[in-house]
Amino acid sequence: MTESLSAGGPARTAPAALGLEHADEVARARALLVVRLAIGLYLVEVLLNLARPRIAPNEPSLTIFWQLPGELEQGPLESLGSLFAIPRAAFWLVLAGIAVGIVLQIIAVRRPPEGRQATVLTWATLATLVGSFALFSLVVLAGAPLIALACVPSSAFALWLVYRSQRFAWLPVPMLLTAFGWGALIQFGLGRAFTGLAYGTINGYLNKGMEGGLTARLGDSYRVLDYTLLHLSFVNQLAAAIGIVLLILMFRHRVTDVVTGLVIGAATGLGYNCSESVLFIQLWGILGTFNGATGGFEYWIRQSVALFGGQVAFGALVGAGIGLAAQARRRSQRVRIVVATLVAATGGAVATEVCAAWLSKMARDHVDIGSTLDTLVISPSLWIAPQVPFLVVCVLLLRSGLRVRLGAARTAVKNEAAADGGAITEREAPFLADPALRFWTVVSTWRRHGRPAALALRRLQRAQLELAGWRWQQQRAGADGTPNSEVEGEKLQGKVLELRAVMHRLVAS
Amino acid sequence: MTPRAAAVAVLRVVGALCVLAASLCTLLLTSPSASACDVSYRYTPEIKFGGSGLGGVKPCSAGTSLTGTAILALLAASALAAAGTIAFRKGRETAETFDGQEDPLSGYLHPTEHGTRGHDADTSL
Repeated sequence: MTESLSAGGPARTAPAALGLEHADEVARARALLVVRLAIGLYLVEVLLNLARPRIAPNEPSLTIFWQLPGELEQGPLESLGSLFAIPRAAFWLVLAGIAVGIVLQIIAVRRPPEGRQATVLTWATLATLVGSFALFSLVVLAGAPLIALACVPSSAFALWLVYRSQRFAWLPVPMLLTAFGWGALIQFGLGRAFTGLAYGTINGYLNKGMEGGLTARLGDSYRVLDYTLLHLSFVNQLAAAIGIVLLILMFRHRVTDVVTGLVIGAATGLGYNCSESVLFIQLWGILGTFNGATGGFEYWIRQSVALFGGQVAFGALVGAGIGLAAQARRRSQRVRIVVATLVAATGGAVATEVCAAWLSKMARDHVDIGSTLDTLVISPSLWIAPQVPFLVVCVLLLRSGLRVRLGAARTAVKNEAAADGGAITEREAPFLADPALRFWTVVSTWRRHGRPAALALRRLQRAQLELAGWRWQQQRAGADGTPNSEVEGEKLQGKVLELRAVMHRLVAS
Repeated sequence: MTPRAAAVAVLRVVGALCVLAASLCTLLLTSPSASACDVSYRYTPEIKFGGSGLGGVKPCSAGTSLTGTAILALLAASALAAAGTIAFRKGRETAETFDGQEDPLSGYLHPTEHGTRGHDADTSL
């Protein structure tokens, strides 16, 4: 994979500040367009559910208002119903959020399109349009707070690994946490909001009611489940893509490549996985008598052995596609790349559910389940097997992207060392360009001069690499010398010189 | 890493995998009736009628599962420690190749005291 300039377009003849404002306006318009399309699709789901064929008499207008019969409201099925149902209050709040978002857009149309007020209105609109979907996730998380807490350490460790995998031009930690939050709250909420309605709609069209025997009704139910899973898988990848695009637009002045997309996508997937794990750990803990699973088993699968599988891998794939598309010059090429990755990720998600379940059913012919081998090896392997090709693709994309980045790091460090400023010296350049050498210097400094000196050295090296990353980004963007980017460069240089002085003081003491 | 060292490392990994495969085969021979527990949406539950009512399916126990989680966490920590050790040794070997530097760390931390003769090797990443 060769490095290419990001799609910066022709050189600007307008003043640099005006050009920057125009770019901000375009980014805001794109962000609003993406979110408007998502809301439009949701309203279509609501309309389809309203227009569905009715199976039973006295069905509510929307299937999410369906109430379980009184005699089944006690015991475990009550919990089952509440876990699958969409809270009605959350549904109405989502509609209220959409209404408020429309009002804000009307206000924004009557104001000047540039300036701080326009920016604030845009982000407020985006927050009200999609923020209310987080209620669906918060209901799940609040219903099992201890389980949610138990999922934090593994998710935090995985997020740390994802952050460390970048090697150069790191995304800021708040950006990764935002991606995680998007996955945990918005992506998961969107998936449940859309699919709760879609399940009722699909059931209305495919379920023949009381006609036919038990076998026919079971067959109808499984077909409904299959189509619902297809729908859920597509909505999940679409929601992940929306979050990744919004984050890339928000942080568009950063380096955007395959690694950027992979990392943001993986972080988004980790957040989704965290919320989904809470749901399954709670649900399967109740249904263990019927399906052999337990809450602990679900934790082992979703938060341990298959932590980097599932939506993490598919989110990373979607992110990689968007990162690649961002580097493409032609619009048609960008669209083809994004569509291909969405199709691949959706297919992978469906295959994981269907193939893993099919393999499990084949293995169950021996009847005896729950042995140690089954728990620790067979069941996890059957779940992971369909995901392996996608994991391999993600690893290969990461490897390829990192090769380009590390080559760019060597060049950027050398160029910064050759520039006036003294932030990176000729002596320091080979140390900065080699991750193993950097690690050796920090550990050896710790041994010789103590922890404070080692931490100061690490902060200095990180600041120097950030400066080199800024220079790389300047070169990719075509060095238009916009005022904001030059100011950022000077700020980074000042930070490096300050940290170097602190480090020398600690080493000398 | 030299070709010989790489070959030795590959042989060690292959050997470890053979031991693991042999252990799994042994377990398979002694537990032929293993099956699979449900994981996700599409796993359709198998309802058995036995004794007083529904149920009778032996679960994949939480205790065994959480033991597996603990073992995997230890393995992950060990792998990270091993990776850190390998990175540290690799960094030290690279630093020791710098010309004219008896103490490369001091040369890096105090460049004005120990001279600024740089090592311009295009280090392999």
